[in-house]
Amino acid sequence: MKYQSKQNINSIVTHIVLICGSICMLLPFIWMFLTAFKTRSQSVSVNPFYFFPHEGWHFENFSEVWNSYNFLRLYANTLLMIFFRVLFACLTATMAGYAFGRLKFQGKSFFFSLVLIQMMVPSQIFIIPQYLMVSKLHLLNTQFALVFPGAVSAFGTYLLKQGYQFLPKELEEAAELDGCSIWQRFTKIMLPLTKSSMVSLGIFTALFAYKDMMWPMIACNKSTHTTLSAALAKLQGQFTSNYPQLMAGALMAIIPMLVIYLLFQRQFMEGITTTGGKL
Amino acid sequence: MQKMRTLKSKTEAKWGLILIAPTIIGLLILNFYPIISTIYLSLCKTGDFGIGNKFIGYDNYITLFQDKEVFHSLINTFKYTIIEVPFSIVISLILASLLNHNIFGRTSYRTIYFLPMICAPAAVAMVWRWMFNQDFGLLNMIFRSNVAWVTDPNIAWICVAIVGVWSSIGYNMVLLIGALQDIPRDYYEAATIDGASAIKSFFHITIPMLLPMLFFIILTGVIGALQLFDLPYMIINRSSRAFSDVQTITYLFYTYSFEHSNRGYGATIVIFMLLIIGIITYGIQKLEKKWCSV
Amino acid sequence: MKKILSILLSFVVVISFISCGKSNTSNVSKVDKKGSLTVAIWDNNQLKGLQQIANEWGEKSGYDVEFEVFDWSTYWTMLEAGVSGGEMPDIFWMHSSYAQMYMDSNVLLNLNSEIAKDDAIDIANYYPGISNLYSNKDGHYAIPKDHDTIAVVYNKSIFDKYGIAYPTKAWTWEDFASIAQEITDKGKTDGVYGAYLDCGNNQSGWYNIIYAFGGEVINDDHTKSGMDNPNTIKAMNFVKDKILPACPSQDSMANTAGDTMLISNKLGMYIDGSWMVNSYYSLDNIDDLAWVELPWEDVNNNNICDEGERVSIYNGLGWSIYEGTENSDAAWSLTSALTSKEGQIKQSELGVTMSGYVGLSDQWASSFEGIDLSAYTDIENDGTLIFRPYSKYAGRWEDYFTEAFIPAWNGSASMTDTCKSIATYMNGLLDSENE
Repeated sequence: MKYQSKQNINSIVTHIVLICGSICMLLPFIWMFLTAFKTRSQSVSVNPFYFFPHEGWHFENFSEVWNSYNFLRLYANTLLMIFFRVLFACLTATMAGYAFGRLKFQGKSFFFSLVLIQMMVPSQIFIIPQYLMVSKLHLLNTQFALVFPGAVSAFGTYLLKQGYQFLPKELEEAAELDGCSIWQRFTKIMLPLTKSSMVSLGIFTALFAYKDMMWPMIACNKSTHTTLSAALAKLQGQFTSNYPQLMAGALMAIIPMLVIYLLFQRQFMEGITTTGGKL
Repeated sequence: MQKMRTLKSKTEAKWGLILIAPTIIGLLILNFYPIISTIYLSLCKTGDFGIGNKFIGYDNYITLFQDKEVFHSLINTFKYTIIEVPFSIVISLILASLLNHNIFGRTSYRTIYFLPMICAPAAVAMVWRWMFNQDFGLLNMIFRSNVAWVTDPNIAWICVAIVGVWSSIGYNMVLLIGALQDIPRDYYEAATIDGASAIKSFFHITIPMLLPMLFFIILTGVIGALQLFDLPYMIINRSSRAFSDVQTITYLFYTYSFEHSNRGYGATIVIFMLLIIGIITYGIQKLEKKWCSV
Repeated sequence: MKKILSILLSFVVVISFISCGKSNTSNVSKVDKKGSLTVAIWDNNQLKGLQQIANEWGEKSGYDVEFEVFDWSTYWTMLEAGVSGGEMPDIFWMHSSYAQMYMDSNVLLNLNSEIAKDDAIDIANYYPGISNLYSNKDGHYAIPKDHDTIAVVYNKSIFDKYGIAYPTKAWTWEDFASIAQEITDKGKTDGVYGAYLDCGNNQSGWYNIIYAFGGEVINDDHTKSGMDNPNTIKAMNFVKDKILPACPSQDSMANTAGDTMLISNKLGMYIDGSWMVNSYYSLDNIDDLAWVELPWEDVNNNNICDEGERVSIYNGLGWSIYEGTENSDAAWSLTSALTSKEGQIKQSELGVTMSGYVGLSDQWASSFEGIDLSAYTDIENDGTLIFRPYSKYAGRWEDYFTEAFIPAWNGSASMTDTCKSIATYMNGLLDSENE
């Protein structure tokens, strides 16, 4: 009996904590959502949580923002960019992560320090040189330009190195005794064991790609080739503080990510859970 | 036996280089060429558009070491880092532990905590800026107070840190849940059989097994915090009296390079930052080697 | 896992088809065009009007015109990247903060020969301050596109609520201050203020007061600071002693923008520029707002508004052409269409901004039905227009103003001392510009 009630209290406390935390998380989003339906003067009125303004909700913010941009095109460009960045980054990072995490070779620490240095530098200094490179290749305003800076990932390499490094040696040694080459050890045994890190890497690469604003704005400024974040930035213009339209735009931009996340959530969570292979 | 070993290590070396090649080549082209040109810029008094750069050697660095604003921004950045990183990690660790079990509504909670990651940073900052508004903001309304969240030099940097923690919890939580899932159940079962309490298991099994991932999160968190730019840029107004106490070193770099067209001095600031971050990273790596010896 | 991959792959294939499909249709219409021009701007509000004018020109000339809109900071990053070797737009806006830099670096096409050949464009027709800004001893590098002035926008419902008469253009800065103080006193319990002036409100704020008092921000050569000029100090002390007490606290102003407070009925009067009218016009409570000319200052105590006693700061953008453009003839033709008298009339009628061409301001004012904007246009006759103070790297000292004035604003430093130390710092910056 005592154990059971202790369980219950634990569970209640847990839920209280989680719910409070959830409210903190959601508060800004609730405000975003409500503001998108207001007029400009309403949005700066004293009570931001005005659920039922006397004139009703205003849907025109959404239609105005929708009409300013070809949203279908924006969604398509953004999703393609995300897909290719995730693909390339995961491929290159997992190979490099395995090598840094489990193989011995000359210059390993030197090359790894290169990886770390990239992470330590503020990204703003890369923008103009990368833009010039793409421009000289005459590939501005293409999907290549969007994917280019994200094709390799120092962050991903580091993440996967951690993932590979602490896997048990015994598995690899057993495979070696069985006559597997390094490539086979890598692809058939080690790689599948880092599924959780790979899934995490995929998610984060996708998110950083999606949120990347400055690069798509500069490299793909034609509105037919740009991405959601860049288009949102243009909404702001130089002098406007039109909160409702901006919030409507931000909401419309979140929707694809949210939908993807909700659809694939089970797979993501399952992916993060490793399957078997544990000693 | 010797011959086999050398052959094996040669193959290993060959594969090592092959596997890292795509990443390293990518980094060299995409990132190292800009870094080298930034170092060169820091040694110049830059002309506009890269025309007429005058090589002046170390003069920029001499100016930098006498620049009070640079050191003020550095301290602001350290203050932010020291608060944001530990809070973010501790909170996400607690959340990850709670959400690792099969409790009711687990998926919904995970989704909710992950939401800030999905939202455009500009929109997030705008919302928080309005919530912190002294006269019309939500926080002062709820607490019925008149706190000068973004203009009081003593509080403003903490507010920026709060937004930083809020945005990064979901990210750390996902990584930690993954790492937690990787810990074999058997360890916990064995511990319970031996009579260990939940807290004891947490500190003697969970934390040690999580150390690699924790170090990863600490390192990336610290580097990210030291490079903070977006949040102070969008939340604190330049006419706020707290501005000089919140301005981070990357913000200062941005101002010089992009707003004042002084790329040479901006480059100097970046290189200075790089050195500091490098030293801190080296320190963290050394700690990791000591504590995570497998 | 395999299932996810296959779903994702089919998704990608479908999306690729959508993307490819759309681009094919737009290729067809390009076949019969002579070429295309790219135009870069930073104000989304002006896009529609400008696109209309450009499309009309395009039909006659056989060129496609593509507009690209960026936000302010990305615009200049994009241009800089373009100059360093990337792709440049053919035509783009120039601004006082960057004009000298671009002219000195040979990025802009020298327009003298084009102007000479083109009957529709005569530099004398444009506001001299603007055409001077975009020219140097070698010639003209941008054609003035527009100009803007400053006026006071006030909230009629606030004035009605506290029973105060609406301001008229006969008012002096002392009147402005006392009306503001009256509103603030009466509005104390409601949290309403009479005026709003933060350290960062320079062009649409205290610059105007400095010049009305006979002071200056920078000398005519753009080489020495005017912030320690006795009249400047007098003006800033007037701001400190008479206007700021009627404003929200400096903290509040750093938190909330003036136009936000105005439209949520927390502010009686706000000083703002003509480029902001567009954003006020779309409000649902636009009928509560009205505009009146900036006040004057009786410097010589003769009770008459003399020359130089009523001042509005003005500024203007220019249309420039990239030095290395491949279509200089077409680019000039479009620029001419945009800046000729007809083009400027059209721009004003479409409510874009006030024209850079002298004498066409009425068209702009009347393009906004239902509101009276004569405050922005009449001041050109009733008062003196002073061009916005600038130097090659004006951004450096303008940013400094905002930060350096904070202690003077909130009372922790003397305004006189602050002005003097600002002048010293500014002179240091100006000296290094002219090295």
